Amino acid sequence: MEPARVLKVEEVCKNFDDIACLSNVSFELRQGEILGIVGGNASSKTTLIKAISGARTIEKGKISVIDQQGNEVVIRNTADARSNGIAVLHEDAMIYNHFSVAENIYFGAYSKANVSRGCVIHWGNIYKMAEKLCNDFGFKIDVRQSAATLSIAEKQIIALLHVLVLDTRILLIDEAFSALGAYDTEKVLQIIKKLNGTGVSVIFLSQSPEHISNIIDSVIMIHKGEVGRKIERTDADFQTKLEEFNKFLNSSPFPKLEVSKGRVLMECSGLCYKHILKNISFKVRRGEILGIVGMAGSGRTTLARLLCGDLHASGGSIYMGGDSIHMKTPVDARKNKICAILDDREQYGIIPAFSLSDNLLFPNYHSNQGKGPSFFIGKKAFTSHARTAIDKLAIKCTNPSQGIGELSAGNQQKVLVARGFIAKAELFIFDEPTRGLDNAGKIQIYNLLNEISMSGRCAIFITSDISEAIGMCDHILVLREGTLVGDWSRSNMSGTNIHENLYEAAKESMI
Amino acid sequence: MFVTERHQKIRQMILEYKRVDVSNLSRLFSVSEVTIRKDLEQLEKEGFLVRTHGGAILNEGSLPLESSISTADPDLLLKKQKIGDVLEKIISNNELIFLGAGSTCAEVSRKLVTKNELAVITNNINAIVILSENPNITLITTGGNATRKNSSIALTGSETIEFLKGKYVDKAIVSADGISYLNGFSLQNDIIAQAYTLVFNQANEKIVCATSDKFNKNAYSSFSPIDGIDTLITDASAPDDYLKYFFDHNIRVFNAYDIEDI
Repeated sequence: MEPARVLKVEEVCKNFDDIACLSNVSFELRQGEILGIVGGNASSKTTLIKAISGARTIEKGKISVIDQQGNEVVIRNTADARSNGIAVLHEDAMIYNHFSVAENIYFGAYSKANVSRGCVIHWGNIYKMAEKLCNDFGFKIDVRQSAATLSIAEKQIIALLHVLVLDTRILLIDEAFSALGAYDTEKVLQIIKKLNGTGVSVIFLSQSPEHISNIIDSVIMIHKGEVGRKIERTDADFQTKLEEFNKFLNSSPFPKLEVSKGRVLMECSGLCYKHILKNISFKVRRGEILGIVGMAGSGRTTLARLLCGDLHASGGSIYMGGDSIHMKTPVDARKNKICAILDDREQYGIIPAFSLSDNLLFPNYHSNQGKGPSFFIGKKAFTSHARTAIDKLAIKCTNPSQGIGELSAGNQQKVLVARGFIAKAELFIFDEPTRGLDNAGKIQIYNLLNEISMSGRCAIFITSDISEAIGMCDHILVLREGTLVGDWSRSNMSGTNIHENLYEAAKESMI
Repeated sequence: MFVTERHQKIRQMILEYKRVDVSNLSRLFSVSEVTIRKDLEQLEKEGFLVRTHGGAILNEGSLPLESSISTADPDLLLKKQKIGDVLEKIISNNELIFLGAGSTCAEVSRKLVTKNELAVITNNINAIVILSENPNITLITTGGNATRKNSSIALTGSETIEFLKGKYVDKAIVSADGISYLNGFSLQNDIIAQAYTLVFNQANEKIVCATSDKFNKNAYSSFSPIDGIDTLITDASAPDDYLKYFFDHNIRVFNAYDIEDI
């Protein structure tokens, strides 16, 4: 007889502002099943787990637990989740360092464990029960010792035992192994297997399925908020699918190049603009691609406009190459070697009525290749200049005199970038350059960013696409409601971190 | 006239006259002697000529490597150099790589000369000459017969394949004669293609360096399906539909732009 289902996730949808984070996620979990959900950065897997544990509300769909009597109980919040036996094990096991091992195991479960009578807690009993529990699981430890002295693996195990004590039926494990070595991971996995032996169903979230491939009964892949079908260990394609997922997760299509960074080119200190931007400070080095991630309304376009002289800051200062600069108009920005390609190109960038070559060279008519001021606009020279740019940047057009309005979005941007190169810009600011572009257009923009950084220039890349930012940037700043709330270098940036910055997630308390 | 055009003209002059004069060149191109000297410095770095007092002479030892490249499309040469620039950033010191045959791989090896403690297994004779400039690079040839196509000399034959069996590398870097959806990455020389298939199975990262003229071409022998690589380095004119395909299949694509002289 097939084991009963314990968890049903049906057509779950979750949005953050207007961005779909989870789309029609559906799957079921059986009693005693160990399911692996694998997905990369920014795949929304943590959001899914939070939805199941009740920590996040969902817009559409239903998450329900099926209790021992066979009734469906809908999960709407953490209280529902907890009282129906759902528990979460996080990457950093929530252990109270100042308590002992036994206290951590039995915390919140004193009445369940029958070690209290009224208001009195029988510590002797607690220590005895904790010791027995640890022995049953083959875990050798002194239950009276302080949790502060435990290793990370030991803390995870304590957290697991605690979860068991709370009568958990469904255990959600969120990437609990990244801090553990291979040996420790094995130890923790064994405990989990024993837990599963007592009837607990487990959902593993992981970026690297090879850790858990031996222990799981089934696997689901999650990508950009959508899930594939569940594949059982008994299915013929289980192994090949796992390998496929592994290969997919270990590779990233973003063409990131490691470029050595030079001196600081631009520094902003305490920039403010009316009530929209407060106290923005950051540095950009030569060769660096700095990402600024923010949702609509966070002030990111205002910041871009400030940095290119279109708006005048109400406070704070901007330094280029160590010198304080004051930009009253975009002409000042160009003089300071800043080139900005803003979101609304029609308003801020191109002159729609004019031709490609005019748009390319308009601001540069005076820069007659250093040969002194020219009172005549030499058509021939400028057309050849335009042709070079078209050739080198592969701008798709019929000829240089084509109206720029006829070019595609991506090609219009290339014209603006070429204009920056002609003006000898050192710092490029891109505001949502890949929005509305297809993947081919995106790759071309990413490679332009690479070229900018390889040539010793720098780029500020403003985007609302987290995976793109992680894929291409050396450094990411997170902007929310006009303030910088996150600062991540390449070594510690992750989809979860940035997402939390953007949506002000509070750390969950120990369940 | 832009820098690269001037370089190209100087190369042609050196091939024809075997020597050039700084003052003559400066008059001819209407630039200062300092500019010409800088040009010659750059071309000397490329191994094309040797500077002398007042001018430069052809670097005889490099002739086989250069003759086809300089008479061929100068744009193509530039594109290969940009591909080399990108590859140089992807390869770290201390890696063991396999480098394939052909002019593209030879040209990119120029940019790898500065890598210290690199170990290279290759069947590309031109690349060996270039890389041997740096005594800190370990150079290992495969076995095989030396065969010449245009100005590229490569080792090929059953010994080449035998040698590569069991040799695991961090990165395998090859070029292709054809790239298409149906035929994947292909090569005219089927023995070398077999060698590439073998090495690809023994490499952590499979990298193909190819200029954009190779797209939608089918060469005789396929050495990898279209989605069987990890990284593609090409130039700015790569077709959009291929870019889309690779991105969707998690394959990194670098289409190197050249922004100097814009």
